[in-house]
Amino acid sequence: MRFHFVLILLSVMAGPAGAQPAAKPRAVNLTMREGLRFDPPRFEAKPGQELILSLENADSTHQQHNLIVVQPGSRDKVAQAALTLGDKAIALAFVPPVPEVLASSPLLDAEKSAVLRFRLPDQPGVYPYVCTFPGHAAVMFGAIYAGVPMPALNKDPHLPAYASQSGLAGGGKRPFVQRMFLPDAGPAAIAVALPGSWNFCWDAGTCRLRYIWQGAFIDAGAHWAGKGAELAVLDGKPWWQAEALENPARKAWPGMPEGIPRFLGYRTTPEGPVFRYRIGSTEITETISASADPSGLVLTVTADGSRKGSLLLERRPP
Amino acid sequence: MRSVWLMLMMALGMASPIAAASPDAGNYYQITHVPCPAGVDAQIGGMDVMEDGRLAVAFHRGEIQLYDPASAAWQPFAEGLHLPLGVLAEKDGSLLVMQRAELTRLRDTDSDGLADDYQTVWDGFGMTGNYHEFAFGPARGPDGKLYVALNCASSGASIAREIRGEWSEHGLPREKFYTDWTKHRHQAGRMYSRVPWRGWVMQLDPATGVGIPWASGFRSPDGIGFDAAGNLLIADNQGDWRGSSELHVVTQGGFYGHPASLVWKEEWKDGDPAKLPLEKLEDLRTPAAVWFPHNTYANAPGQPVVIPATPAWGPYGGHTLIGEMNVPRLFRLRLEETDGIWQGAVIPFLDTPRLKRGLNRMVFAGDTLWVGRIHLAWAGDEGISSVVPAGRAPFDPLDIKVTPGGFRLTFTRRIDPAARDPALWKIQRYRYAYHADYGSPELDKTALTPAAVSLDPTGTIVTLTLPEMKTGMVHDFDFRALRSHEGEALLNPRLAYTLRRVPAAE
Repeated sequence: MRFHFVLILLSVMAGPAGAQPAAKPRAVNLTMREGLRFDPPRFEAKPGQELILSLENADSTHQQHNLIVVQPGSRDKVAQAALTLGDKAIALAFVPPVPEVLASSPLLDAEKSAVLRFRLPDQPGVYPYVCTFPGHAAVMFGAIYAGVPMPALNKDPHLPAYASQSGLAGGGKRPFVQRMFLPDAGPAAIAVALPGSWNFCWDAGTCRLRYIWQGAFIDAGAHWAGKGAELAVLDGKPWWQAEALENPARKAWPGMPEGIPRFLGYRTTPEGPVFRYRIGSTEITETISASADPSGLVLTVTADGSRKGSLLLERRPP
Repeated sequence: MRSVWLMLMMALGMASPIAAASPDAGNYYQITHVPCPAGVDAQIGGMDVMEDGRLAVAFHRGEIQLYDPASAAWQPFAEGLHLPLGVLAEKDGSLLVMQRAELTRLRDTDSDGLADDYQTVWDGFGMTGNYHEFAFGPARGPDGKLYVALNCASSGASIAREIRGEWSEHGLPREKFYTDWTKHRHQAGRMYSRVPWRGWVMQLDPATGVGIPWASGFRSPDGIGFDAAGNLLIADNQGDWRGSSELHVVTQGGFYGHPASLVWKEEWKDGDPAKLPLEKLEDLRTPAAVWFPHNTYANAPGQPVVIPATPAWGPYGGHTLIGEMNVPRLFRLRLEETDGIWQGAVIPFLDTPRLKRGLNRMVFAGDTLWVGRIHLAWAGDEGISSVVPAGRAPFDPLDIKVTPGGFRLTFTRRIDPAARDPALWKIQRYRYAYHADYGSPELDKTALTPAAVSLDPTGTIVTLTLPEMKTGMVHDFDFRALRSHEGEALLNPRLAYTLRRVPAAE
């Protein structure tokens, strides 16, 4: 089933030939991805430049997509026009016969490719591209900047909101708690960014610290962009990891009762979260915070309101 | 290729011109789009109205923000949740939020406007790490209990090495999930439940966090809510064992058709439930009260809510309203119970591109309906909007009830007496298959013409007598030929009634 068709399309383009020195054709790979996304969501070109767009439908949810390049400011109009094609919609591949359409691809099944070759108009502008398969146009679009400066990604009014958002959970805020699918942890994991550059993974499924790393926390961009199948990516490698099934809090408090812990939640503080869980009738809190000398983290345990012990988790030089 | 064909059919359905023949919905409802706060992914997982009138909104990346409609200002309240898909406000200002791993109570204990206590109310269910294990709700019942619904996992992906909860041995052996998944995935069941309470609705005590398995047989039960009479309604999505999207009226102990969840029935000994004889599953299940005809009505219904009984909403007060992801359309549901069997109709209510797609979550604040949109990896949109009636109700099909020989329809205005001509009434009758395949074509499709049509003295109630009454069938009415006494066309000229039980003649 993995045929790889390549369709070459030639689309006649407006613009007086030879009106200005022809720039070299620009080749761009554009991928349709899970989460109704074009990757990249924007790119630069020159006015009047010939573009060779290599399109690939890599959407893991196996949805069909097209790509239509349109005149500046006409994305909504073209998308609406695509919804009024009635019985002709399939034959037209959801491309409405309106003058704002500059170039268009066929409707691509998953795992199919096409090459779209056309010339941009000579007028500088922001030329949108959009998928007009019903239900996709509201979020599946991007922009070609032709002779117009690109604003910062997070201030670009021509992109869907998700394209301008960084995948960094919390955006650099510390402390920050993010529940997330993480590597080497159970599905009820919690990622915590502490003041400084400390980060740790605490598993609410088994109520225990799993690992510690340093860096810019986690990138959950791919997880959030789609249906949530991707794990978040740690910025950095864990330098400490709990043994299998070990609860490191038991080293801080050897008298901790045996039994299956039940997670009760957490309280946020300026130093980081205070986790709560219960074993039998004993209510336990656990905090993990930076040690006084900045060499590691300290795990502190209380039970039924009184301090039971602590454990220094030191980062040793390699 | 089959999926491609389905997508094409879906696209054709969406482009169906039925709505275009209707009057403009914009004359009857005012739709206002509200800008979402900067920096959020504006997909809405949950919404509710707090005691102080603010709207609590859950965003895709796990933020909860509060919107004050009076000042049009947003204020952050909580963050870092994992795919919150439902919010319920409590009287003391705290919020209950259903996220992937648990039902959480968010409390602001130091009154600085931000939640500082993230209390786990209930996490007594399993997770395999499969992306499709969404968690929906909570809905508050008239009994004060909470009800949540848990999605099955999808064979679109395998499971994580570490899971939470007990593993069920019924079905594909666990090691096959980790070796050569693409080879084994077709034996896993298209949607599978291998950890507790996947495919179940659970009843929770909001104070103690004790959960009781309430009903089973669900696939992707995104829409959970109560109707005005206090019935628990669940909308489930077209797919395997779901010939079309379905609306269920859920009671304790019921099984609603998708077999995967049966492995968690007490003392289950029958192995992989998907391999049971179809007759056995038919015996166990309660069929849907209402089918949402796929492509022509709805492909992915959302959360049901009750229209307030206020002058602004006129004749629709107390009716159940439900949204839809794939097309910009809201529906009303009209349900009735005949000899203990639920059945009823889905009626388009507001059908305009201005509403946008992805209509996942809704809540009424006084006379204002708030809608919140989502897409994830599927068709949809983003953001929230308010909807308020602009004045007089449109000429609309208001209600439908089954009679021993046909149906009794009520309209919002007097109907043109020409409607006595049976030829003006077009009805398509069809059904959907109950099978493991994904979706179903419309089966046994027949065009019906009433044998007789009578109007009551008010001119608003029409009784149709059909040549025969056949249960297990959608009755899809096309009202485009009808006019009001003043010559208006209907705003929503169709409805689909799923007939399950014909009442006995009195």
